[in-house]
Amino acid sequence: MFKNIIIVYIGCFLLWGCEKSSFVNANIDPTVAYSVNPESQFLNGSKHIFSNDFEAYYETYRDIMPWLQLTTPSAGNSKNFTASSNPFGRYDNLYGRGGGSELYDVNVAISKLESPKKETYQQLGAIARILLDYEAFYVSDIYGSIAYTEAFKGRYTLEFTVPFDSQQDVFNAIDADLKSAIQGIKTAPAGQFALGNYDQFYFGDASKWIKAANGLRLRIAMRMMKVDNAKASSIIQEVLSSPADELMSDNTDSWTLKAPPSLTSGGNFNPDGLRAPKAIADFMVNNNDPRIRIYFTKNSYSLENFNLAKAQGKLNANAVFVDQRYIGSFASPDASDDAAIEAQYYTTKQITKGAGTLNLDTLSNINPRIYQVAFNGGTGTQYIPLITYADYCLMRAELGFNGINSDDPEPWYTKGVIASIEYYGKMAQDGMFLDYYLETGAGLQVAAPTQTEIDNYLENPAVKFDLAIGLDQIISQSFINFFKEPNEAWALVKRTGKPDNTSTLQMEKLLYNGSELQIPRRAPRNLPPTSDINFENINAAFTEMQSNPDYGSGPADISGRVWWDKK
Amino acid sequence: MKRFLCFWWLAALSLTCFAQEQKTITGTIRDEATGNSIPAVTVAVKGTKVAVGTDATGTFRIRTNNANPTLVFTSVGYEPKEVAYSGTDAITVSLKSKNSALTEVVVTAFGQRQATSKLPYASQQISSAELAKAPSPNVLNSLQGKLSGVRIDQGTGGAGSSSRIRIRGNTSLSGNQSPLFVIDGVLIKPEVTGPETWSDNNNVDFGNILKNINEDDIESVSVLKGSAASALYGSGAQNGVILITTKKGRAGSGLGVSLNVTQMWDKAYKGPDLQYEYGGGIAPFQKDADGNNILDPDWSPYYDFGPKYEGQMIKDLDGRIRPWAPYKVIDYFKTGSQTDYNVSMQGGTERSSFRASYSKNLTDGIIPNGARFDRNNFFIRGTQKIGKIFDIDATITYTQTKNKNPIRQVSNYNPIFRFNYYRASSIDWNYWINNFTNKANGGRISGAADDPYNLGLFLWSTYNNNQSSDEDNLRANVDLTTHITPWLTLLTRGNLSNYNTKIEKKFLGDGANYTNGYYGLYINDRKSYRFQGLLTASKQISSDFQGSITVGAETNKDQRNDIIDMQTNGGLNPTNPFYFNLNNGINPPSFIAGHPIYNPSKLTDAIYTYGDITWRDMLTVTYSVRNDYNSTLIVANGTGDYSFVYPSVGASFIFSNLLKDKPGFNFLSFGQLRASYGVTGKDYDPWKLNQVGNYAIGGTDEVVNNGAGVTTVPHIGFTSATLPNKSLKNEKTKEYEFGTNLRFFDNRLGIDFTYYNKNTYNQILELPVSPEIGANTALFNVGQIRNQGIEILLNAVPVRTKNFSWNFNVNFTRNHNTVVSLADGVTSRDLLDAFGNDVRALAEPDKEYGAVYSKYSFAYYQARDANGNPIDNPSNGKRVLGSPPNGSDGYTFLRAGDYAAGLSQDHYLGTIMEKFLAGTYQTFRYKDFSLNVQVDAKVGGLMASGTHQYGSSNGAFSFTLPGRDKDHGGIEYTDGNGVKQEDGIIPDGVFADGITSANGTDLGGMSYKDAYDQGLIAPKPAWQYYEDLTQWSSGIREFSVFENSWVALREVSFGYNLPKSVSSKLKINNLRVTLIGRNLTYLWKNAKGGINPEGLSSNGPAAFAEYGGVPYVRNIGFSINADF
Repeated sequence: MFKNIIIVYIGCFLLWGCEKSSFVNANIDPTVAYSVNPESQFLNGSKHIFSNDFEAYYETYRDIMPWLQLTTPSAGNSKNFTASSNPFGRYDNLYGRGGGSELYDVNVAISKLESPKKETYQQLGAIARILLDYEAFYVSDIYGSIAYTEAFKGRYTLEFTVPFDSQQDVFNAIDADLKSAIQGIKTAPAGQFALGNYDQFYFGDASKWIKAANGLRLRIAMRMMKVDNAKASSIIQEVLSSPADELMSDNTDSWTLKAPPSLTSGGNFNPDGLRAPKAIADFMVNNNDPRIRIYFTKNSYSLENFNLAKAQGKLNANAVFVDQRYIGSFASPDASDDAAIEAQYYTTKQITKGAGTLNLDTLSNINPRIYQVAFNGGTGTQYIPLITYADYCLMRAELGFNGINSDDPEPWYTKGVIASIEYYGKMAQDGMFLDYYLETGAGLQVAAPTQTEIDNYLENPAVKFDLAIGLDQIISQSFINFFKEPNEAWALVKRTGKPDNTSTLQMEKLLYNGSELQIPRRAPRNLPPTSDINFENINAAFTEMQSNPDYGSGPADISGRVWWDKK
Repeated sequence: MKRFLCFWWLAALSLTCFAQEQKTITGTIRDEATGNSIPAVTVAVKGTKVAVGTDATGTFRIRTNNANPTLVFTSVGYEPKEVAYSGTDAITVSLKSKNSALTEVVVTAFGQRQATSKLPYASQQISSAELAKAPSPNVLNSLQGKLSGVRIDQGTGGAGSSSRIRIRGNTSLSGNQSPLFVIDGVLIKPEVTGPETWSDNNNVDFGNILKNINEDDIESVSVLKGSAASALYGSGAQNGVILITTKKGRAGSGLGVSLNVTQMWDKAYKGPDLQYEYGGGIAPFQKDADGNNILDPDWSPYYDFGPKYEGQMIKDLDGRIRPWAPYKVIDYFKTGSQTDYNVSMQGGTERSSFRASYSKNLTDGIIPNGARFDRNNFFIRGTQKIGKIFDIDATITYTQTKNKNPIRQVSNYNPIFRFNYYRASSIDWNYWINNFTNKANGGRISGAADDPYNLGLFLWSTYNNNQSSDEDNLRANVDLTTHITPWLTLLTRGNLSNYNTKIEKKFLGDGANYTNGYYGLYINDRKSYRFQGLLTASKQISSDFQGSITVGAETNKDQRNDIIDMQTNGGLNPTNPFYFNLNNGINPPSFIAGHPIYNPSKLTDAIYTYGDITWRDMLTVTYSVRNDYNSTLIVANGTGDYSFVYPSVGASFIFSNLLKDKPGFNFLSFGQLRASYGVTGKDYDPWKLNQVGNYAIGGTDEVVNNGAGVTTVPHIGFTSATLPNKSLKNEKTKEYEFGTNLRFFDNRLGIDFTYYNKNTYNQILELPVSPEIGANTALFNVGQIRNQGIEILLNAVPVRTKNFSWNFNVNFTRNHNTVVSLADGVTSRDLLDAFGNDVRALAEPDKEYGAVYSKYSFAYYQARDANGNPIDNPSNGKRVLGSPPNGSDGYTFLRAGDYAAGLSQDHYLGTIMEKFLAGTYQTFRYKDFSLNVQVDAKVGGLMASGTHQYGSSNGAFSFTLPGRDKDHGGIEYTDGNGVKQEDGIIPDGVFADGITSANGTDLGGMSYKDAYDQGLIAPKPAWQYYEDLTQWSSGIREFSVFENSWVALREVSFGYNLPKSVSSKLKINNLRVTLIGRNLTYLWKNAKGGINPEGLSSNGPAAFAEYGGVPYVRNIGFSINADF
C-alpha cells in the first residue's frame, strides 16, 4: 500500500514538472510586441517632437517670445527678463522624450523587414531621416555641439555613452543626409508603402518631402552664411538649381505638422494671458495687416462696454470712443514700469454689466488658439509650421537682395508676404480661431483675409517693396511671418540684427533703468557631474565649444554664441 | 462560496459529536512557580484513548467510564505529571516547568515546529496571548516594539492603511522591502500602498492585503529574520519571513464557545504646535462706516499675523458679525471607535479537532465622513486522523473588508495640511463646515463673494467625494500528512489565495446642479496557488545521534488577470447626478491608464532538501538547499537564467550541557552558542524583463485625417525608455549570523545576543544612461548593500511568588544599512523625494541607505578674492542672506542651490535610517490581576515634514510667534510709509557678495545684525521673515527636515480574571476583563513643531516624509473574553 501511495505522489510531482516553456509563458506580457511597423514609429516620433508642453511654456512663452517682442507677460516684462532663462524643452524632445529614437527606429525597423517588402519602405526611411534632421538642426541651432552621427545607436548596441559632434560637423552632416534622403525618395521603386495619415505633414505625398528637405538645406545654409560663406553659397546654388518640382511653389508645399487638438491640449500649452506685443500690433494696425485678427484678440473696450464704463463714471465724461481694439503691451521694462503707462494700459477698470461685473482690459492678448486649438473647447487642427512656402519665398528674396543668387528680390518678397497672409488665413480657418473679446472668452470664427485686404495691405508704403529699404522690408515681413515660428524670428535677429528700433517694423528698444538689454543668443547648458555616464564626451564637446571666444563665460552663459552665430 | 462555507460548517460540526461518558472531572492547571494558568496541556485518562486539552485559561473538562481514573498531564515545557482520582471532581494541578530554554518550541520554515535550542539562528515568536493583551485591527501594529531587528511604522490613513515592516534593514534599492508573509502555508506578498509624492488629488491609502488578517484567529507569529532561517523560501525571502499560524481547535471544559468583545475609542489628542494668539491678516483691523472691525479680504484668509485674539467682535468677509476667535485644528476631529467581536467554537478528540470563528471589526475613524473600516472574517480549521496513516489539517479563511474614505494624504485635501497651509486660524470653520453648499443651485460655494476663504472645494470633497475599497480574500489550505512508516512521513500541501479588490470613487458634482460629478471603478482580482510536498525521515540513529532529512518540492503561481480601471467622463448625467455608475457619464466611460492592464503572472517552482543531526542533545548541525526555478528572469526567446540555488548551514551548541554538574556553574541554567550562514534572494518584477526594449501594443493614437477631422490609428511604440539586459541575475543576499542564548539563576534571567552581517549583491536597477543614445535608463545588475547589526533580548523575572510576579523584557536593535557600492560611475540613486524633489533620499556608496540631500538647504558664506578664489573671512560658514531667484519679500536665507557655483550646492543632511530601536515589555501579575506596560523607542533618522514647512509660511505654527510684536521680542522700526512697526526681526546670517545698502555701502559678508546696527538696513517684518523662510518660492526645506526620535508609551493593559468561583456561578467557564490603552503618549520626542513622529504617508521602503499626516491619536478601551 505504501508503495502505491508513493507512486501516486511521485506521479503528481512529475505532473507539475519544471518545464522551461511554462516559465517562459508565465513571463510573457501579451501586450508586448517584439517588432514594430515603421510607419507607427514615424507617427510616434512626429508626435513626441512637438507635443512637449514644457517646451511651449518655458522655452517659447516665457523665454523666446518675450525676448523677441512676440509677446509679454500680462503686466509687461520684468526687469531682468533677458538675464536668465527657463529650462529649454527641445533637447528633451529629441533625446529624453523619445522623439529622436523613434524616428531613428523607423529605419531600424525597415532594415529588419524582408525583401521585397523592405524596398517598399524606402521613401518612408528617407522621410523619417528628413524629419529627424530637422529636429537635430533645430536643437543644434541654439545648443551647438550635439550627438548626431552616433546618436540613438546605443539602444541597439547597448553602448551607454555617445560622442558629440561639433555644430559645423552636425550642419554638414545634416546637409549631406538631406541630400541623400532626397535621392532616396527619388530613386524609390514603384509600389511604395502609402503612408496616409501616418504622415501628419504631407499625408503620404513623398514628393513634397523633397521640397521640405530642400527648404531645410536652404535654411541651414543661410545660418552658415557668416561663418562658412563658401559652403553656404555652394549649398544654396545647388538647392536652387534643383528641378522646379523639387522646390516649394505654393502653400500646399508648406511643411507643417497638422495635429489633432489633443497634441497641444497639455496644460502648459495654454497661452492664456500672453499679451499682444506693441511693436508688431502697432505696425499691423497702421498698415491694416489682415493677420492681426488671427494673431491677437481685441481688448475689452467695445462701444457697449465703453458706454457702460462712461455711464458708471469709470471713464471721463467727455471721453470719446475710438474703434481701435488691438493694443499691444510694451516690451521694454522701463515702459511697462512707467507710472503713466501702467495707469493707462496695465490697469483694468471694473464695471457692472448685466448681473455681473467685468474688468475692462486695455491690452490685447495673443489669440490663444494660434498656440492651442483646444483652448476653450476648440476642436480645430493644430498647425505647427516647420518651413512654409512664405518662409521659402522670403529666404529667396533675401538671398536675391544680397546677391547670393540672381533672383529679383521684389517678386519673391511679394509672393512671400501674400503666402504668409494666406497661410495664416488657412491656419485660422482650420484651427477654428475665434475673434475673441477679452471679456467674453468666446466670439465668432475669424474670417480668412480677403484678396482686397491683401491687395490694400501690399499698397501701404511700408509694405510695398522699395529697393532702397528692401532688405529692411524683407526682414520686417519675415519677422511678422515668424510669429508662429519664434525660433526663426530669433535666428533672424541673431543673423541680421534686424528688425530693430529703426527698421520698417519698428521694434521697441528694451530698456531697464535706461540701459539697453541684450537678448540671449543660445540655450543654457550645464556640465553634468563627473559621475554622469557620458561626462567625458560632454566635457570634450563643451571644451571644444569654449575654444570659440564668442562662446561666452561658460556653458550656461546664454549671452554667448554658438558656431554659426558669428559676430 | 456560500455553499462551500456551509459545507465546512457541517463538516466541522460533525466532528464534535463524540460519545458520552459517565464521570466528569474538571480542573485548572497552573504553573507551580508563577501560579499562571497553563493552556494547551494535554489531559489524558491513563490506559485509555480519552484525552482533552486545557483552554486558554488552563481549565479542562474530561469524561471517563473509569471509576478511579489516573489523569496524565503533559505539556510542552513542563514535566509530565500523573494524578490519581481522589474523589474530587474539581481539581487544581500544578506543573513544574522544565528547563524552558531546552523545551521552547517555535514555528520555523514550512511550518515545522522546532526546539529553539537546536536552531542555529535567532528566533522570536509572539503568541496569541501576547497579542490579545492589546489587540489592534492591524496585526502588524500589535507587533510594533515587541520584536528585535524589526521596525514597524503604523499606517496613517486609518484602520485599513498599510503599516511598514522592515526586518534587518533594507536589502534592495528597488521595489518592495516587505518580508514574505506565510499564513498556514499560503504565501502572501504585501504591496506598498499609500501616496508617496505630492499630487493635488484625493490620495488615500486603502492598505494592502494584511488588513484582511484577523488577529483573533492567530495562534502565533514567528519571525524568520536571518537568511539561514528563511533560505528555504528562496527568491521570496530576502527581506525575511513572517510565519503566522492560526489556532487549532482543542477540547476543553465547557461548550468550547468563546466570545471576545473589544471596544476601543480613538481620541485625537494633539495636533502640531500651532499658535492661537493671533488671527488672520498681517495688520490691525480696519473699520467700516459703522465702526465694525473688518477684515482684509486679500490677507486675512491666509496669514496668521493679524490682530490678537482679545474677544473683539468683527464683521467677517461674508458680513456676519462674530467674535474674533481661533478655530483649533484638533476640534475638527471626532472621537473614533474600534469594535471587535469574535465568536468562536472549538472542540476536539484525540483524533480530530475543529475550530470555527466569526469576527467582525468595525472601526469608525477620527475624521468627519471618513476612515470607516468594516471587516467580516470567517475562519474554519479542522483536523482529522484517518486510520493510522493519514492526518488531514484543513483551514479556510474568508474575509470581507470595506474600507471607506481613509484620511487623504500628501495633498491640499489632508485636513491638517489644509488647516495650516495658508489658512488663518481665525476662519470660522464651524460655520463653513455647515455652509459650503450652494443652497440655491446645489453644488458648492465658490467665488470671493460666497466663498471668501476658498474652503468650498476642500469641504465639498471631504463630505461628498466618497471613495471606498471592497475586498474579498479567501485563503484555503489543506495539509495531508501520510505516515508511511514511524520514521517516514510525507506532507502534501495545497493552498490558494484569492484576493479581490474593488475600489469605487463616487464624487458628487460640485458645480451648480451637481454638475462635474465623477465615478471611477477599479477591479483587481488576484489569484495564486501553491502545492508542496515534503518527505521527511526522522530517526534516532544511535544513542548519541538523532537526525532528520527532508526532500521536497513545490510549485507556486500567481495567475494573470485583467485589471479594470475605468471612469466616467464629462461629469455625470444632469438628470441624475446622484447615480454613480459608469453608464451615467455624459461622455462614454474610458479606461484610466490604457488597456489592457494585467496583474502579471509569475511561476516559481522549487526543489529542496534540508535536515539536521544532533549529537547528545548538545550539538546540532543543520543544512538546507533550495533550487528555485523562477519565471521572472527568463526571456521570451527562452534564454536567461531561471534556476537559482539558495543554501544554508548552521550549528547550535548547548555548551551548558558540559557544565551541568560542574560546581560553580550553578548560576548558569542554559547556554547556547549558534552560528549560521544562509543565502536568499529576490527575483525581478514579473514580465518586466520582456517589456523593456520591446514594443507596447494597445490603445490608439489620434491623427488628423487627410481632408478634415480627427481619426485614430492603432498604437504601437516603445514600451519604455529603458534598455534591456538579457543576462540579469537574481538579487542575492548572503548572511552570516552568530548568537548566544544564556539563562541564569534558574532561568530567572536570560539574554539572547545576535550579531549578523548581511550583504546583498546584484541589485537589479534601472540606472540613467546618456539620453543621446536613445534611451534614458538601462537595467543593470550591480551594487552591494550591507546590513550589519546586533539584536539583544533580555528577559528577567525579578519577582516570582505565588501571588505576585514581575516579568521584565527588553529588546534592542542596532542596524547599519550601508550602501557599499552601486554601478561603476553611478554616484547615487534616488529612492524617494519629498517636497517635489526638493529633498531627496538617495542610495549613495559608503553612506547609509536613504542619505538625505537637498539643494534647498541653507547656503553657507564663502568669501572670495577678485579672481573668485576662496579666501579666509570671519563670516565664512555663516548662513547667507540674499535675493532668491524665485521671489521673496526682501533679503532672506539663500538656498545652497542658488548660491555660489563651485561650492557644494546639494547638502547632505543625514540619513532616514534610525540609529537604534529599543522596546521594553513589563508584565506584573498579582493574583487574578495583571498589568502590562510596553514602551518602545526609535532613535535617530530624519523626517521631512511638508506640514511644518508650508504651515510655517503663514504663521500658523507657534514657533512663528517670536518677533511679531514687542511682547514677543519684535524690534521697532519705521517702515517705508513712515509708519512705526514693532514686528522687526534680524535674520541670523550674512549678506551675499554684491549686495549693497540703499546708500551704496557694500554689505557682502556683513551680518544682518551689523548692518542693522550701522543703520544700513531695516529689520525684516516678522511675517515676511517666516514666509520667506518656508514658502514655495524661497523656502529652506532643510528647516523642515529634522531628526525624528521618540519614546512611546505604546501599550498599557490591565486585566482581571474573574475567580472561578464567581464565573462558574455565571455559567461561564472563564471571564477576563481587560482595560487597554494603546499609543497613549510619547514620553519623549524631538520632531519639530509638534509634528506627529509617526505620520508617514506611505509604507514605501524609503518613506520619510509627511504631508499633513494625522493628529496624535490614542486608543483607550476594554476587552472582555468569556469562555463558555
